[in-house]
Amino acid sequence: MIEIEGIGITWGSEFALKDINLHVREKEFFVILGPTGAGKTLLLELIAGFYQPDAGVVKIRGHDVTRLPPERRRIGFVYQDYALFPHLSVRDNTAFGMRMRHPLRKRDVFNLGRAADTIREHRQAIDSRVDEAMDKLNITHLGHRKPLTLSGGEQQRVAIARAIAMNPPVMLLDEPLNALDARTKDMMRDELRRIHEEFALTTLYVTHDQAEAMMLADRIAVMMDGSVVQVGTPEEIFQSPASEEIAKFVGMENTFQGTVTGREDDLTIIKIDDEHTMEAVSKYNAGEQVRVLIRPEYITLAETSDHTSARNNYGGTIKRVVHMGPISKVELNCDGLYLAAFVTRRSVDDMALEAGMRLCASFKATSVHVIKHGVQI
Amino acid sequence: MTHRQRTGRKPEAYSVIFAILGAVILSFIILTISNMIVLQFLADYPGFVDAVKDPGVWRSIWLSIWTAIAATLIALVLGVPLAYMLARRDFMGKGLVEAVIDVPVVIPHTVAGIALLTVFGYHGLIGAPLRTIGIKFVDMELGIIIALLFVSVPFMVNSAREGFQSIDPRLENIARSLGASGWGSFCRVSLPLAVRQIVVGAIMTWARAISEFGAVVVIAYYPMIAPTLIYERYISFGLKASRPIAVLLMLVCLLVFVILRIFSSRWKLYDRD
Repeated sequence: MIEIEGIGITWGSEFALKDINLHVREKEFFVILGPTGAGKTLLLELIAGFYQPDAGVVKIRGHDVTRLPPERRRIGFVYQDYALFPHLSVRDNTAFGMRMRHPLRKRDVFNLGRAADTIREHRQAIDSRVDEAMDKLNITHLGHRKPLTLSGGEQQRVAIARAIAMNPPVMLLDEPLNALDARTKDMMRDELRRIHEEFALTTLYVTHDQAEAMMLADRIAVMMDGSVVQVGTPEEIFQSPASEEIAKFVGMENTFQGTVTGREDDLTIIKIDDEHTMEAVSKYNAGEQVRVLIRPEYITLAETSDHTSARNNYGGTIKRVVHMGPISKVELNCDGLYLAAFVTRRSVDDMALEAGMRLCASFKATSVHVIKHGVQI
Repeated sequence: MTHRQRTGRKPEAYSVIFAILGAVILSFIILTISNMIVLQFLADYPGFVDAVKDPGVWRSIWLSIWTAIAATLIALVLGVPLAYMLARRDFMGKGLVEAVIDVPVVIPHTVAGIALLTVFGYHGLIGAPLRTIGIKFVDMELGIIIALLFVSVPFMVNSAREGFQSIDPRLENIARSLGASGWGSFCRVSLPLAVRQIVVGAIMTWARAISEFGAVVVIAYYPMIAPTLIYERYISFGLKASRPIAVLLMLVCLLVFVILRIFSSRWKLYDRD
């Protein structure tokens, strides 16, 4: 679908991107993960056509688009800070792309009646497409507002609606969740995956957040210092990072692929593997494939599970304790389920935590964040 | 006004000094303007009435106004694209171009007039060939407009450039990705977002043009724009003859200036609702 072959660009005297090769498949959710300054945004901008590479080729559906201007590539683009047009209302922002299309043909010049019809039909088409996009992103009620009066989450939705309204086969997202607060972030992450599937998009998503990459990606490319250093499924990247440097950067996140096996009101039972199930608050039904995330700070450690009201309790052995300033990361192996928990340095000392010790890890059903995520093969 | 002192403590020494210094320069401006106007009305009201009734005076004032408008329009058409390029592109010699744009501001205006006459005069580099097809600059409205354009265009370019520079280039990127051509993104995004700075630039350009005397008097003494007329009356007949016209021109300029100020300050394009 998107083929990037040998892309390179120099910025001043330095290499900003070096010989990038990527192959993104049709309808794939492809995440480019890397630390700040790795050149991720620049790569997206090259694919969109805002800049020209010094070397290499960008192909979309087999067509070489390297020298095409951005307006002829049909690519939706969402920037980190949304880049909404401040002088246009939400509705006019959403309709911007559609209004840039000129419906008239040359022959209409000789037939004004047909030209008028064409224009009327075009206007109706714009209206219905814009209505649909605004409806899908739940921003219909914001139609007359100006972007600067909206919250971050609302601006985000407008930026996505504006790109979606053009019905692009390819969507490029540059750290779209970065500027949002944690709660909105969780919600939008779910939403992005839903939009990806609903509109059958091929999505290229840039982030420096491992949890985001883990949750959303079908495949991940890790980028460092202007080069792609590893490409693979989230499991491959996080379980067998190709180098020490990658291992250090991706760390370990509590994300798991699972299947919903039952649901009672909002309480969902999710089967992770044959030995492990998890209870989570979500709206998904039995049989649905999901991905779950538990933030390390939501996991509590105790010697026994007697005094906890949390729904999820796993006994396990400490693999490693990593000190990170005032807090420490405790990595546990709970019979094949690997969990990481943050505890204060003080608790590490009080409980005398060390590798090999047996412990009980607990977390509430409300601490488990779930998004729908079919596995693509 | 909004920074009122909350406590009843005495104003500090530095703010007293600043207030006094500010008051001196303000009174200098206000006194100079108002003294002339007031004195005219008190001491020589009939002289003012004569000036108002003189069609020659109005002809000069009108000539001043419309040639300044013409110069502003030309500055808009030629200056805005240059301003955009300066704001958006990096190219060899950009610093030189920016310096060249500022040159008309720093050279004395009689010098500018001499330079213009050299190029656009009967034997000038441009004046000579154009004269053969009947286009003349010396002592023509066209000469006035050329002079006004030369001295005032820097204000247009600099103001518009600031306007374009303040726009996030990523807005233009997004417009392009949504299917707008380079031209479309300029017209639909960059221009509307910079329009306020462009209007401010146009007002400055017009104000600078209508106040020009030195360059115009060299290339086109006739037909007389208002400043030339005032100068001529002063030289030939003295202060008493020239002052009424000066007062009239000042009142007209103030009126236009006030109208434009009100118009542009109310114009909130995309500020928060």
